[in-house]
Amino acid sequence: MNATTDLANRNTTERRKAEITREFVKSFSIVLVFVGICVLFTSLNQYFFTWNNWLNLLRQSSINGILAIGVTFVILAKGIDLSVGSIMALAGMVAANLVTTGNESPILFAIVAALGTGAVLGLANGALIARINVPPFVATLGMLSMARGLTLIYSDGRPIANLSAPMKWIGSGNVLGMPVPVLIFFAVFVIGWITLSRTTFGRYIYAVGGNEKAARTSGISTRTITASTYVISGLLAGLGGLVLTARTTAALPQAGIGYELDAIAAVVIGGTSLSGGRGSLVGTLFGALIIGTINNGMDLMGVSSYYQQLLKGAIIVLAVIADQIRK
Amino acid sequence: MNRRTFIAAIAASTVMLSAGYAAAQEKIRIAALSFGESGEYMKAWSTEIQNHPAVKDGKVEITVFDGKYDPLVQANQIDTAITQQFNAIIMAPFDLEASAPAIDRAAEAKIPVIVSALKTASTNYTSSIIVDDREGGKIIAEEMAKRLPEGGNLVLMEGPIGQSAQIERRAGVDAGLAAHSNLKLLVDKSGNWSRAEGQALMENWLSAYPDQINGVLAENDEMALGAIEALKGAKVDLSKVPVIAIDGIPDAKRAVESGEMAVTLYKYARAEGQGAVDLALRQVIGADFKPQSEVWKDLMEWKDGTQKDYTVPWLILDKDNVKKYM
Repeated sequence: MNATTDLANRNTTERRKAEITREFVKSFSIVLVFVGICVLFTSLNQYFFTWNNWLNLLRQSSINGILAIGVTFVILAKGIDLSVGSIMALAGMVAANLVTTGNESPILFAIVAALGTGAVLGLANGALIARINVPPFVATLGMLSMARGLTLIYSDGRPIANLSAPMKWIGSGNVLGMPVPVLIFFAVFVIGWITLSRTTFGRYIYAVGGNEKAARTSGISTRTITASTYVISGLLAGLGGLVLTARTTAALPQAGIGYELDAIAAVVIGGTSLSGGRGSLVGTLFGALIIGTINNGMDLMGVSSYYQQLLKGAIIVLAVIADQIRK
Repeated sequence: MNRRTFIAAIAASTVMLSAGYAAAQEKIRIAALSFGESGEYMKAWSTEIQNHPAVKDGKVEITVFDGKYDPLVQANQIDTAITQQFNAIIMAPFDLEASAPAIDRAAEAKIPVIVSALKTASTNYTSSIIVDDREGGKIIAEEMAKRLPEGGNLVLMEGPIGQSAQIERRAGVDAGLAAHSNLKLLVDKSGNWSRAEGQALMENWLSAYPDQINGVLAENDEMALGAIEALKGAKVDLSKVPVIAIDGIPDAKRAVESGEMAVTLYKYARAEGQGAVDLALRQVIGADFKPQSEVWKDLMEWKDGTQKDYTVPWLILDKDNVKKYM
């Protein structure tokens, strides 16, 4: 038994070392791709490389980025989360209801409510998957529909507008010249990056995703780890919902439809393997920035949205092909 | 092509591109923010904008942005248009409330914003050119009353609840029906502007209210076309159960021509699209500017192009006149 544990531990450590090297190479190549895209757009459009446009680009990438960071945790542990778009709609709605005319609670309530709603639904996902062994695809697909249903029931299909000034500030405010959504995105990134690369919990996530059996044998509570990744993803979806609501100054029942796909795309473009255990948040950060840059750059150039969708799809597929080749 | 000619070709085309680019800088640049280019009406709208005489002449350059039915995407695109220093912005706002802060930002940046096709909660836009959705709702209710003089039971398919077109059209329908007490609204539900959802709704209603439905009102054509499929599937005589809707999309005009749909209100994409271009050019060029689209000839009054709100009239299409607008 001891021998097995040692072996598993050593395997995990070695895998981890190889992982760090691979991660570095990968992160570096994604940065190159990002820089390449930026150079291309800069040469094609005079407005692309301006400070204001960079602020736009970062602001436009921040909501998808926040979602994608959460989804990275899930995918690293070999799961998938299709429910983030719906969860963000419900969380945004619950938050908006607390800071609208006639019911103006302190902004802190709205923040806690949004994060709490997301975390609770994420926990439900986690429990279904880790406790009852429902496949992640099915559990979160179910949640995608249930959370949307809850949003419609809660809102009676009507938007909630007239949000309080502090709530709007989350979407449109600036601190030291930086838009608040961007600062939130970066803060989430830093916390997420430290969690994944500098804590035992983070290493366990890689271990569970890389080889669940070995992880379990070496004494990791794989169920808890798996479930916690969904809580993180739900929590960040809640945060994303809060920012989205603040940015559009209204909580809409149809908000966030399809956002899970952009989040997953950012993770995949960022080089995180859908088969778990390999990838990094740096990749996801640039994955989200690449999607934002492509949307922004092609809008600037006036490329028809029909071609934009084609190109975005092609980039996702190419990213996965690159991942296969590296394997 | 060998490598050398290839490079030469690239170099030549780069020079040509940049030359074209420099020429383009002289043009007036207008951003057209469609709320969703995959929908038939918005596609028609942006096509009309690109067919405006001043665009055809090459004096004006239009960049179409696709809002993808997402208020956040539209907000982002306004920011992009501000950064790009467009001379004017034409916007079809997807959402009444969510479009407001974006329009306020453009106004702050001193870029004229012409709101077209749908309303916004912001008051900082320059001009709006929109059909009167409330009036449209009222007209379809009255057309229904004409076709059911003895009265009867109606069903109503609504747009996405909370969208300005849904709110206004519904208010109009309610006002229209209030004047005819013999018309009773059995049930209403949102079909989200979708043909497939409209069809499913109608199928369910036919089961829930067998032989009780005398007329179908829909807040847009797509849902009505879905309802017609369901009615045909249930072998309902469409000449006895009128289906009446709004928008006048090509499929609906065909259905009116064949007698399957009783009436559709034609929302004239040219008026909302090209009219908006003229209003934008009036802001950019100034008082000397004369509108160039034919829509100002007899459909609408120009009034110097500086009014806050322009109302585009509805055209009522039935079997007798639909051919003219096919």
